[in-house]
Amino acid sequence: MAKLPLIFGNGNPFPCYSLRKIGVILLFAVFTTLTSFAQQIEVKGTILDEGSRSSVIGATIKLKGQQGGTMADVKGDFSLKVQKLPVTLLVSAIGYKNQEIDVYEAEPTTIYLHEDQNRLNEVVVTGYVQTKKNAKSSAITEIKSEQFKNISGTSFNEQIQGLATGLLVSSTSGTPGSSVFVRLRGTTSVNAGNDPLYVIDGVPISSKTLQTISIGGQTTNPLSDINPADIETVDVLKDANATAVYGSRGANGVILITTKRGVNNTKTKVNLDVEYGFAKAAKLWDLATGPETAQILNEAWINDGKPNATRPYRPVSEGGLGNPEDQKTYDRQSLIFRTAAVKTYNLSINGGDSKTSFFIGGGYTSQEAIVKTQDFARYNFRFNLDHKINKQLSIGTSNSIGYTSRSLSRTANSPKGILQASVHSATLLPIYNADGSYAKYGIFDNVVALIDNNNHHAYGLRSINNVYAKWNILENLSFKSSVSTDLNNYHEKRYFNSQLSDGQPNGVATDATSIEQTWVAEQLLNYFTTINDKHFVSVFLGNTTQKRTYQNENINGSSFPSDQFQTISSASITSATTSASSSGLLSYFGGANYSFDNKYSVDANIRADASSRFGKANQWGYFPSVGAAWRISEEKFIKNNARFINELKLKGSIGLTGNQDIGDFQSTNSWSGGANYGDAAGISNSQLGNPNLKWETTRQWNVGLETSFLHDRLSVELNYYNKYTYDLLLDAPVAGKTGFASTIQNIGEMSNKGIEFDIHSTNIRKRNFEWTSTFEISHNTNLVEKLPISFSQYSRDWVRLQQGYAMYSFWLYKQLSVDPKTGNAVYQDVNKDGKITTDDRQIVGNAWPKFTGSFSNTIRYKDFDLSALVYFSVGNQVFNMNRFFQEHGGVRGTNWGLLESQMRRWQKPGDITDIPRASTVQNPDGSYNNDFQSSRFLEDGSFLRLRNLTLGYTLPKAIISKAKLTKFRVYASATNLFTLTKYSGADPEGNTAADQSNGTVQGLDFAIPPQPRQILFGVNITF
Amino acid sequence: MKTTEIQKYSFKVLFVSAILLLSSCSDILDLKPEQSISDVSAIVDKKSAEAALAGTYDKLQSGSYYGTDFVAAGYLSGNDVTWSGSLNYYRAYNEHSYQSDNTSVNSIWYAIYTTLRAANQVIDKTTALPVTLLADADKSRILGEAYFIRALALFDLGRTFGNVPIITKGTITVHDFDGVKQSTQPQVYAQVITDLQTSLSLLPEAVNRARATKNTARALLARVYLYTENWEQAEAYASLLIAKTTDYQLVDYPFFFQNKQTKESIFELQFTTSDKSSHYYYWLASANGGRHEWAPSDSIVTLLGNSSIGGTRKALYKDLSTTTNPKFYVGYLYWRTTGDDPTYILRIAEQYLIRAEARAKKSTPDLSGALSDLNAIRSRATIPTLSGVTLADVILAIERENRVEFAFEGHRWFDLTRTKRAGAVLGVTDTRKWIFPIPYNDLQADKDLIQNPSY
Repeated sequence: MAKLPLIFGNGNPFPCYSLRKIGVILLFAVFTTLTSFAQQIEVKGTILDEGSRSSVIGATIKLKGQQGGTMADVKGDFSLKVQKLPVTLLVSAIGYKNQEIDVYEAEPTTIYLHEDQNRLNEVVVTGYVQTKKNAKSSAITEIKSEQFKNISGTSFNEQIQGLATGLLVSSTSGTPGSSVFVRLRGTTSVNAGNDPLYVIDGVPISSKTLQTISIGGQTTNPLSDINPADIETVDVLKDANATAVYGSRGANGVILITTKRGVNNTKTKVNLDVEYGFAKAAKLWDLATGPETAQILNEAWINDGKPNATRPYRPVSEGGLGNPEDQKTYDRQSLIFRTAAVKTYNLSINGGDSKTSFFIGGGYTSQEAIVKTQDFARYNFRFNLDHKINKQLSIGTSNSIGYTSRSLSRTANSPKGILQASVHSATLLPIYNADGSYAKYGIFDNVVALIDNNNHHAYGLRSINNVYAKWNILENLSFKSSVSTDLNNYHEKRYFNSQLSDGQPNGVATDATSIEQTWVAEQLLNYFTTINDKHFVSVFLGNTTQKRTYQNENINGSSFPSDQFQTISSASITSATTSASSSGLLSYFGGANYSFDNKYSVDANIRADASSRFGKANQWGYFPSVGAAWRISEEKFIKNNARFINELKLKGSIGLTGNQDIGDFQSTNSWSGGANYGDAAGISNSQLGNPNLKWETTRQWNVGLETSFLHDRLSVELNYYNKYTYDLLLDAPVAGKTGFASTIQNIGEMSNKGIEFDIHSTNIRKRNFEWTSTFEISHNTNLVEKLPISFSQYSRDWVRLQQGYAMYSFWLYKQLSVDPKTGNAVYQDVNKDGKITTDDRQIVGNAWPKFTGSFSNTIRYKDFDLSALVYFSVGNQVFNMNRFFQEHGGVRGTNWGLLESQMRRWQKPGDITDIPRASTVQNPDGSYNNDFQSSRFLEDGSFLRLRNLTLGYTLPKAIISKAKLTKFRVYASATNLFTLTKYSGADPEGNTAADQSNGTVQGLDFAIPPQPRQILFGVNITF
Repeated sequence: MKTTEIQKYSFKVLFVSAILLLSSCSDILDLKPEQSISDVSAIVDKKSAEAALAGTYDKLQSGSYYGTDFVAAGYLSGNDVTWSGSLNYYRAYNEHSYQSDNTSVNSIWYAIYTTLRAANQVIDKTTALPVTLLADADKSRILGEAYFIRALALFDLGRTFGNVPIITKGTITVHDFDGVKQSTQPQVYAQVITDLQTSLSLLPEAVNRARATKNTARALLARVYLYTENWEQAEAYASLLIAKTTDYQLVDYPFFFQNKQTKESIFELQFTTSDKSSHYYYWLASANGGRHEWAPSDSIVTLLGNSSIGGTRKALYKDLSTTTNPKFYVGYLYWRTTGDDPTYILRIAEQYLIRAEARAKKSTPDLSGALSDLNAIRSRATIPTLSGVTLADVILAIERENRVEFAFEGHRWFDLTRTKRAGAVLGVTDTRKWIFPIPYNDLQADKDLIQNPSY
């Protein structure tokens, strides 16, 4: 067989011509170097799943027309002695299509098996539900660890950006271990939580930060307590049929995490991964120089009608601060940003005999932030064990302990924080006073003082555990009982010494401890059977009981003897506060599914939940769902007439899910302590009761099409969903005269409609060469359908919730132009009264992307692997608060610096620009040119980012087997290598309001460290 | 399957089902909060009534009320304190460009109504307690203090926003006051006087500079009568306090704010190191632990620094200017970085100036009496006394004395609007700007509200 035609496969017409062209160009050079080697008698290879790239364990390899054969081991590896080459291998494995491979050379070969979607007997388990794999009517995306393991990050939820349709992920800051914004198919709620439910090995875990000390709107990501290297798969459950069984917690989607486990009857393997690298900001802020700043301040002075003779920057001899051109420029950005070091080690051992299998893993990662003073380290340990006591009884356990250590400092919305001191201090102001002491201006602290004296640490200890016993009562009837815990402690310590503004006069310290514990007991009865080979029936019935407790102690101390004493016991003034709360959830659930002839299937689930958070009369909520699927490809008219179609499935589902993720005890009219006056302990009516408080409910329907063509080399999935949420749990404003600003009420309705599309293609599949591509794109439209009252979601009223608009809408004065004659900004006068007043504020845009998606490519040539992932977000708007503050046109005086973009301001009649003249006074219409809630600062935040580029090389077996190794791979990986965006700030994904509970605010960028560009070098060793 | 097998398995299934059903405990749905108690059990005896009353003073301490913002709105609008920080909604007070979406105006509105609500709840629930649970003397005092706080809150609403709903019942549900419309400023002041008279009848005759007594009620009555131009009553109530020379005295100027609870104070709102005021944080320079959000204006610095105008009141500011940072002035009325600066609500100095103004403006003016009260304040500040001036001069001199005497206490704006001088003195010629806008957000939530003219 000639080499070249092989590129395009077994004579199948390749469907995507543009890809084909690229393929030719990319690989021509590679293939011209292909040569044959001398024949040997040992045939070696690896058998992998074509879709996920994971090894296919226990595949059978036989020689066609000859005696002999073998089985693949746990890594999918096999070796086979043959008399002569070429031979034809017959490879088979349960759940996969049989494959014939011609072997011409004795080089190790990689064989990709394709899932056999026609297998009748394969029953898969997702969460609680057992179904026929093909019969699923739900929208579920499975992500394999291979897809994200090379992407840098401290948590899996930031790593899976772009890997599942419908899942919006954005990292709100470049600080490792900081919060990640995750939304699945939009937002269904406002105040009742929008994070998906995360379930790790069956344990629903908390994804709420325990941080209590404010660091300027930034928070930690509690999921960075979990080592991503322990994860085998992440299943993203999207539609009502998949999530209804999670009932009151399913409305925002469910993310199931399965960690690695041992396999019975396999040799013990040791895996060692070591990774080193560095990170650096790709983009910072372009600040106006000292002379430029002085020029603007003088200009504002004149424009305000003040006399030229008293302008601030005039010669010193005239009593001024010196002419603009005499001003110096002091760079504070280079003082705080650095090239950060990153290192990660993971060691795991797994294996098993006929009865027991195990996985033991340990990991350590240390990641410096690009901002000096910040770093993140994590120590992990995991132990998973499964043991069969006898044919009927088995037990097992999953345990993880993670210890995190963080050094923190204040960024974003924190005037005394390091970022504002660095970026917002005027560049013309000296960093030190004449006497060498730290110079501090306006609201800011000194940037060097903040670096030199930072002392803020946080230590997390988290243990997630599960123990189960499973009883196989009958062959197909099992009962599983499990107990799980999620125990999370977080200890924060911060000391401001007397060098710092916030440490005045003699040191200020805070010590806080938070403890959150969740206990879950679960019972699950499962049964399935196949009748007459045509009817498949499965039913399940379960119950969970869950209790969560939270407590926090916060101790403050001030007035220390000297900076050497930093523990609160040395402080002369101390105070403390504590808080505690708890909630309980009792649930019953069940479901059934039926499929006929592998062609038609229907299923139904229901869950009943009772939550302590609601009034007695409304504690119970019921969440049913139904779904159906029709595999058109199994119909004769397809089978006979369109043989290129391997799969054509139409699926649909509808159901209800709930949300109860509000604070504890919100339904009661209650009084709290702490309202003290002087020495008298005081109480106060802290909350108006709402005994009618009930579940927020989301109705969702989903229709989807799953297809696969050309021997499964091309697969396409399309889903449309429509979610409608009613009885929103809303912290809605009430008439101020009641003496309350808001109460939690069931008010309002919201919808999310969207479409998700993904296409996966194996462009080239040859013995030594493989190229696959995946493109996926999602669109979601969020709309507040009903809301009697419009109200703001954050300070300064930037972000507003209003009927007829999406959540995360920006409420601003719309700047139409800058008058070329006067240089004043012209805002839209909505009510046409000639004045610009609050009534002229309007919703100008929102932070939602119109589309998000990714394009990924994986190429494997012999022992080399190359993968690239591009992520894009289109149409999301960002309110650039740095510009709001730093295009102040003189309003904020000398202390507050300017961005270079200020220099584009209007200067003289005839100038055409979008930046009005420097001035601090009110315009005739009542508006202001600068420091105004203007739409001028609202920017298109669309971006396209090369999330990851990885090049790896696996050493040939022949070499490493001498060292008794089974695998040795080296790689280089780059994350965020480049970003294409029109956004003028440092990072379009930043959000200063990340600490807003339930993330009700998005798209506010304000002095946030950008996500860095990161390069890593690593090695994976298996022996 | 054989019948026996089915029986065997049925047994197993039943066993499992039983576990399934019994394994859940409904106790977890009956959790009790650890940190709060229900409304019905909130005020049930003397101890809880006292605690609820302390909780009402706590509302006065709010950062949006006497804790900072309400006081700041007064002194920033009076234009002797200039915004110099980051929060541009404070700039609007300087420029009288506040609109209904102003964050600070919003927070003041809600903070005062929260105080009003707390006072009303104490009044309602304490009134309902039988004598067996709360002795009459205690009940009378507690109610007196609550009526005083209610009066203060209503007075502040009236003078700040003009037309506001008057609420005199404790809130139980969100719809309790649906349909309650705004009253006019005179109607609000009438209610304030009624409440103050009630509180005066209930409160004990005592000296307590941190809480309301008969003296506190009298001092506020003097001020409210001044606002309502009832000069005789204003003079009468001010005289009652000025006469109590053993309890209330004009102490040295820096002394009263360098110390706490001096004889200068009739009512100063207490803060402690564990229950802090953030006022200092907005005033002080970054190097001293503040954010210098606002600073004494050049003009007030000139006045305070003048030995014949400011005198000892020069201590109210510090000049920290350097060559790179010229005209760097910092106010020092709030100077404790430990956060325990009190807020001065009623001082004896004000009673002198109230009486001076009342005497000068009453139908038969008492020029010498007015001058003597004014000179008491001037002497205390060690500036020259005035003599041989006309009535009009005295009235103007009182206005100017108020300016320097209460430079950072937020009186000037309210003084100039009540005397209708804000146009002439501050240049705020649009009289509709003399009251603040009703918050936009509450206009959305409360359909009974009507926006003040011009907003």
